Amino acid sequence: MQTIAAVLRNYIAQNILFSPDEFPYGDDDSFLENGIIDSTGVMELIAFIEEHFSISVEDAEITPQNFDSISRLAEYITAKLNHLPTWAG
Amino acid sequence: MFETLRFAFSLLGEALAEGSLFPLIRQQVFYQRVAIPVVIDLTRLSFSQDPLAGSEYQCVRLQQQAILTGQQVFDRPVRRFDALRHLKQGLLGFGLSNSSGILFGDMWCALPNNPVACQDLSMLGLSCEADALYALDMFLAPAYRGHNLAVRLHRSVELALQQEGWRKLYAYYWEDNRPSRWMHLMLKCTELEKKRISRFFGIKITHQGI
Repeated sequence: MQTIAAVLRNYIAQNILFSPDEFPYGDDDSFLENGIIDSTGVMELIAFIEEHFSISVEDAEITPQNFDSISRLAEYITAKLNHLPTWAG
Repeated sequence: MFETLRFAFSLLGEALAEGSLFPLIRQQVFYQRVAIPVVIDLTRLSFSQDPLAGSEYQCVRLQQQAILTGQQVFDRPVRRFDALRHLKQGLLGFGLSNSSGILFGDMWCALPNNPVACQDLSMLGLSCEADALYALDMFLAPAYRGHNLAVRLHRSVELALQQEGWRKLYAYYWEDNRPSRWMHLMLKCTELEKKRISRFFGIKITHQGI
């Protein structure tokens, strides 16, 4: 069974970066700093996350603390799945 | 009056062509929507190169005469109407053109004492310095979205404004406008105090507290 991080890496690599290879960045590499995901890509990513993990992403939760890297996103999704508090801007 | 009606019908036509009037209505009627004012310190920006360098796109200054004579051509008629209206209102306009010279994106800035800016700044509880501008009404044609062009257009405008001696750029976005939120995060804007706003067409109310 894939980890959350692996699911995210695969999705972003295939559907947002259109990379034939694996996700070409590290899990802690900043999406914003590296321009990995733009404003259209983040919408697709959120839609995927909500459908795949059956969670609801609130507007105020779209923050760098939650969304700016594979690691942070995985932590955010884990917290949501476990009904724990998340960063809200 | 005729131009206003023509503009309104173009706006309606575009909305219908895109399949829904809801986004258009949503812009005009809402209750307690959260606005996030932001500011960019233009003096702290350093550009190693033009943000659009190496691409087939170009950021150009929009001018009324150039639009009227067909030298500057818009992809969408409604943006042409908007551009002429904004220029008449004294706004500074920047367009994003493709290799054919067709404008598919644009962004506007207003001096703080401009009535258009004053209305928004009052709504947001902001006061701009004399050497600051207020950014508004950014548009990118749907076919060109998804390639980070919005950020690059914004950065090109920031570079142009910096070169002209402007020191700050204020703006705002709606918290529920997720693409805009992400774009402003990419631009590393400084967020200011959030405001809760209600609107019924021309009537805007800022609520106390957030």
